[in-house]
Amino acid sequence: MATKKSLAEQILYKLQGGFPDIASAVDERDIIEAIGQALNTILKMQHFSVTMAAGETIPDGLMVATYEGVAVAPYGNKKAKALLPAMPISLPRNMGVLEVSPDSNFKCLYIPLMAGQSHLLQEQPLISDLLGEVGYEVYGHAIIFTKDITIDNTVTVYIRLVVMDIAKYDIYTPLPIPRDYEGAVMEEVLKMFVPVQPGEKIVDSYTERGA
Amino acid sequence: MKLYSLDHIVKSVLLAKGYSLHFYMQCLLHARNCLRELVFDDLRVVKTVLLDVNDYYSVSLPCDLVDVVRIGVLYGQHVRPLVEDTGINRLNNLDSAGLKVPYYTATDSNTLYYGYLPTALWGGGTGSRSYNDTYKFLPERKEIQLNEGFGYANAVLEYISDSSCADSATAVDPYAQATIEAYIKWQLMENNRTYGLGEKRDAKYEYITQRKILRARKDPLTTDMVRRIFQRSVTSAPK
Repeated sequence: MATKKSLAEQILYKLQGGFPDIASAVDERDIIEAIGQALNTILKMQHFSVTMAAGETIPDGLMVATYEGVAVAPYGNKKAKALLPAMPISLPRNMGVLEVSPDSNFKCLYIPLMAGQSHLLQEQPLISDLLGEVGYEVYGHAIIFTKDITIDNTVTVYIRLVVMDIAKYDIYTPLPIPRDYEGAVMEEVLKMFVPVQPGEKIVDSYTERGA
Repeated sequence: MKLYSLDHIVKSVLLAKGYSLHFYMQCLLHARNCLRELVFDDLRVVKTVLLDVNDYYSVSLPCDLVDVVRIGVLYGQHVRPLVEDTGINRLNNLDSAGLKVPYYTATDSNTLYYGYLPTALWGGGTGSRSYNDTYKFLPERKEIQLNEGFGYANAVLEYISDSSCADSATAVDPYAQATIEAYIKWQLMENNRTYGLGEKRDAKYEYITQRKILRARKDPLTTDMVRRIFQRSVTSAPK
């Protein structure tokens, strides 16, 4: 299984023709950041070109990051709010926020709604309160719940996002990425850094010229 | 008795189509719409409530009422039906303070018709109208006006609901599950631009087929009943 370190080293080797230089114009930390970005780009492409093309809508489990203990606070008039721990990839119907549930019972999922639908639902007889369930809408990096769930002591929630959040892992921890993604990630990152050239060395010192 | 909930039916559709919970709300809306239509015609759900008669002899209609089946009074374990009287005044009688009062407290008298009203003109027979077991359905007032001689404190109302009460969502006839599922699948296609006309039409026909099956299941008519209807209609001709 690949780690951030192993992937970054492979990319550096390829960038510098097999002889990594300490004074390289490209730093390993930049490469690691770019790996995260490239992974999520590939993940989104994979979802549209493979998953949805096959008629499926549910993202692959390998693409899902889990966050526990996300704090919830009361918000506005009888609602509650939580902040997303990471920004998921952008998918139709806000599927990037895959699941939200109370920490105490993560199998009891809240109902996802699209932005503004909670207002439309209020006028619908029988289903205006979602049959007693709690719904949520995603606005930017915030999740707004349709009820104030903190009233029944739900102060933390369990969130699953469709994102490859490699910031959660240190450089030596194996990353949960499919094997077939590794080559694609390295190619994408190489394309980003190949145009980066080492800076021109300007001689402007007396000692360089020699006495 | 086995009953299913709308939640169960919707999640069954989501599982069948491989959709996540992100489609739940949309499917729930379609399921509710289908249930409402089925309750009108096929499921034959008649709700019964005991309503209080107010001081000007009317009862307020429930908010989910679509049509009145019967209104009556309790008589032991039976309900004695009232008769609709089209002659009852649709207007409220208001006193000087603007409050609604019964008409028998009115002090002004209409002297156009001396003595009794010629009720034969209105099909009620001659003489004074003293039928206490009458009512009039007034949807514009959201009330049923009872005759002011109605001597009971309550009236029993049987009506067709639009299934907008909370218990409707958890009390769906199992026979209706396939029909509701077919309706949800059809509506998901109908409101999606990626499906062709032929696919939408096929889904619609599938829903219509399921609805016909539901009607057949709920129809109490049997071959024995048909046979008896024929047999009762047979009479000997005068010779």
